[in-house]
Amino acid sequence: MRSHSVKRESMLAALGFGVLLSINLSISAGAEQAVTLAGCRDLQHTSSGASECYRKLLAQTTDSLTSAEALWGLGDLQRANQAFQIAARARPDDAAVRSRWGWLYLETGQTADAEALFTEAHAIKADDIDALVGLAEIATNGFMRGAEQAILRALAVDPRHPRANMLLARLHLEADDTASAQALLQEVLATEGDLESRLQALALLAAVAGIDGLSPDEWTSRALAMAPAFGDIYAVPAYFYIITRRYSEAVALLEQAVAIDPDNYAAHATLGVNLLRVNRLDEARNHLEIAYAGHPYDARVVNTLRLLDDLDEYTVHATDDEIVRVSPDEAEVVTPYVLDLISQARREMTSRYRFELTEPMVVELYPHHSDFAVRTEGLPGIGILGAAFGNVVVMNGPTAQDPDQFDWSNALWHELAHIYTLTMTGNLVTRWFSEGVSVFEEWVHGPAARESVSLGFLQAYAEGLLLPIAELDNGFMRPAYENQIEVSYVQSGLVCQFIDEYFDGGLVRILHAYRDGADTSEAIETALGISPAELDRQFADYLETRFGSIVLELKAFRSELATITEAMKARQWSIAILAAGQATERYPEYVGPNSPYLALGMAAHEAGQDALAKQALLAFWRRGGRNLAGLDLLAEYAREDDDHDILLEIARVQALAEPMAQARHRQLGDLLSNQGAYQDALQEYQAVLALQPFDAAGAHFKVAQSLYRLNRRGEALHQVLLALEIAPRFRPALALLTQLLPNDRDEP
Amino acid sequence: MVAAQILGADLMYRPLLLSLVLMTFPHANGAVRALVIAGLGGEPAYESAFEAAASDVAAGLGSTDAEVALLTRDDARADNVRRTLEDWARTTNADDIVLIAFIGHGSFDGEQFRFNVPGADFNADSLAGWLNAIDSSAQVVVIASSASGAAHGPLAHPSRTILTATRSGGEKNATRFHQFFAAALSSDAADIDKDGSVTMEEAYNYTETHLKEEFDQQGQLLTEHAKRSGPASNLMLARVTPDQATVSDAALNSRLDLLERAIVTLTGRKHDMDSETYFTELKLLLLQMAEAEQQRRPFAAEEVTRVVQVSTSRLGTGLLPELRTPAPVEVEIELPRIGEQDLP
Repeated sequence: MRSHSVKRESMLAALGFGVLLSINLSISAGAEQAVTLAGCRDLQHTSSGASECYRKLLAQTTDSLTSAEALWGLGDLQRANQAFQIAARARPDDAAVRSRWGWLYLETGQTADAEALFTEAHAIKADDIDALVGLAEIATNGFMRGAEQAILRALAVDPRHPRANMLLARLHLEADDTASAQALLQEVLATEGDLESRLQALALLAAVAGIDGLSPDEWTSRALAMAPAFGDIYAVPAYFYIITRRYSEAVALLEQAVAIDPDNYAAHATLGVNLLRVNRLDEARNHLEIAYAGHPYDARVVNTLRLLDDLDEYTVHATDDEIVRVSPDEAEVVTPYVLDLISQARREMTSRYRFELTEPMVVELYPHHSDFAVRTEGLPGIGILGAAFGNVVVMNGPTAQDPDQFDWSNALWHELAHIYTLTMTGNLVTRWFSEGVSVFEEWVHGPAARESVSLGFLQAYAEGLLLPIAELDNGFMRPAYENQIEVSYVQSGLVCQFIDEYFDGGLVRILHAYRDGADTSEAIETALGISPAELDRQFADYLETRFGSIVLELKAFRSELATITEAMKARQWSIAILAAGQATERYPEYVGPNSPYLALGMAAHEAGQDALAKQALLAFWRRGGRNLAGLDLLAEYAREDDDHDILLEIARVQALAEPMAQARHRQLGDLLSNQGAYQDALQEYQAVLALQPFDAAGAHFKVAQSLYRLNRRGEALHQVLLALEIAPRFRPALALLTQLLPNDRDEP
Repeated sequence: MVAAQILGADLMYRPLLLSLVLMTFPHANGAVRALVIAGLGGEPAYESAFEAAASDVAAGLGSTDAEVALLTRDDARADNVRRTLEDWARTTNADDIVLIAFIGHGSFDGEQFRFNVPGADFNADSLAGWLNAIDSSAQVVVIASSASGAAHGPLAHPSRTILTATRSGGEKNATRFHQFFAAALSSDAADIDKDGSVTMEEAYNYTETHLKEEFDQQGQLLTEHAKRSGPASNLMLARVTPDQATVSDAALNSRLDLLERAIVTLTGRKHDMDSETYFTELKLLLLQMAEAEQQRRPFAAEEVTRVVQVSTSRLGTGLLPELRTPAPVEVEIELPRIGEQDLP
């Protein structure tokens, strides 16, 4: 028999937000019982007597496992957990106790504990089906590489297990293989199963219809006829919209789900999270609070509610064109930079993609990676830097990571490009193409444009691991090897760069094809006029031209990098210089991690070979390399040479990379002032002031100086007074005061 | 003005940068004698970082009228420190001020704080003994090292100000205090009151503030907490604005002091006044201040618009991260996962 708890744990939960249990229960609840566990579960969709049934069961049973199940059915999860503990002590060799206990943990979102219990159960009894399905569920929810194998292991024990079959169908659906999914689901439906299994199969069939662009009404009607409050008939298809980034459609379905099934807390939670993604914050909070009230153990709900509390404190800049939310500590400094980048991106991308956004760009920057993670949780394969949900971008802010490892401005540019590809296709763009355009944007048009590609990509290319273009989405959704997601990003970016270079207007035409409902193969044929196979062939030639020689020398290049690293550690400058020189000749474009240019610059500097150091650092910089210490050194050389252009360029990049570092703004402000760019200098000095500097008098004075040069005398006077109230003997400020006061009388 | 003294051929004395300083400070009657020691680095990165910081500190002190001795590398042996201080015990006047700054590694075994120098280390008790023998109006000890907080007890003395990089002997990671302390002595950003000089108080506050910011920006736990004990000291450590000839007029200086006190009093009442009245009164006082300052030395046009450039390097650490002064060992703390609740 199959059923689920009174708390309406749903299929949706099993699909990634809390877990719905549909377990093959072979629990020996005791023949003497007047009511049975299976009997109680059967009441779930047929009457409202399930609670009463569980109460009776609890009253009559002396078995701790049955008690645990009854308490679970009643929604008393804490006492159910205690009962499982007692059962596990009493029956240490009973695999069923552990596997069922594991499902309780899985339901409450505590995956690691659940996995441990399933593993213990599996060790006790290798063919314990609940444990096998549980492990398959975890692997599937986590988009793990071994998910399919885990499901097949369960099906090997019980080929007709509905839950396992539905997990397999879900894998097919996620891979866009609707035919295989449909066949499996029809089999489940034809099997003499319980009500719950049939309902879930119908929900997945409704999802199949949605993915195929057909009406799901047939399946919806059949399910609702059997169980009018079966909200998952909408919530399950919503899941497939979520993983394809079609959040508005998902939200609409989830709203229908909770409308007919108000106690479906997993659906409320998923709805809340996805309302956030479409920037409907107040409604999101409402549904998350309902979810929390009904299901307080879901860490994602708790986290998201806490995040919303924090978000209330964020500083919001809102216009018709953009809404920017930044933490209060950083807003005053970071927001102007964000607005500049948004403005530049809008100007360029509107022209490049021939598309006008009608909705504002929404950007949220989080100072802590954990907050960002809460905001993005549930999106498969997402990188750790940022995420775009339609016109909403959320990402790590500038201080969330080491600036040498994370270029936040380039990451923002990447995400803003997603807004265009997602919006102009109505979210129908494939993952690989959207990422490809964003990576292409970063490389070619972003704030830190560069030609360098990662060594991981080159290795995969050398080993023949690149996917055909039409299958590139698989590299994101279910990676088959360790760094396939990273490799797929780079490959997608290169494909888009290739299309941009060789097919005039090709990127835009592909986006239009996606908008019109084409899949990748159709989009390529429509937009580029060649077959996917031909595109693969031409792209292979492109790769060969760009990377053929370095791939042949990759081993030697890696060996040189290792030599450089060791030599630098040992301060053996001559060895480092030699190896770095060879490496830069072997792969001149490479400015990624452990760039030989950087090492060459630093080693040559240490060895007193300043001309070589400067040349290497300049090459690193010109090719898009970014490293704060390296650029500091290059700036020192530029200062010695009185090369103000380079100094200014570097200072701009450094201030953008470390917006919370006062010295960067002060330095940039000074350079701008010296060039007479007082307005820009003022922005930098105001940033210093916003960062509450140690030298407050000095900071006020610099703002006053800029305002004075801009002939904003009233404001300048105010700032100079603020400087002098801290340091009354500040001579330059007193001098400025004497300049300002004679003309101050007509100031407001 | 105090002339440099050559104390012994076996000590390496660096140029003693002397300048005429017209301003006064609390201990202005006597001379200032300073000894800066760069301790044993143990590895090249520390060795050069300690030496560079010690040189910067010595240069900063040298920009005042202090007499400065710098001991680095093999010269920084305990014997040389002892001999220098013993010499000072013989030659220092009662109204002189003595400053000793140690930059390096330290250790604490639960009983004794030790300075790591070439040859045998010396401990805080020994240093206290050498310093106690010097009859001076005030003493300042700066110890920029790991575990240096343990030195406060042994060095405590009614006329001795002690600054350390750590608050206890338990903070044993290599410290970064020296970077910021050295920077304070060469940066007008540390000169909070904009009088052209950096005092002990300003340098300490600058160092403490920037240390916290540095750790915070790098997302690291603060592993060193600077500490000071003993009497407050307004000893000038560096002159950061080139001094220029001014009219020395006791009446004028007195007037400037009076005006400054009036402004301080006014700013103290700022929150009790309406804004317009406050700024009107402030303007009037500042105009008088400007007038008096002009009498001391007329304002030059460039004073209004001059842009003081800052260095492009961050405290001179222009190396690859792995070549910078090694970061202290990070303490791993297991943070609770947000909102995750175990079932009881």
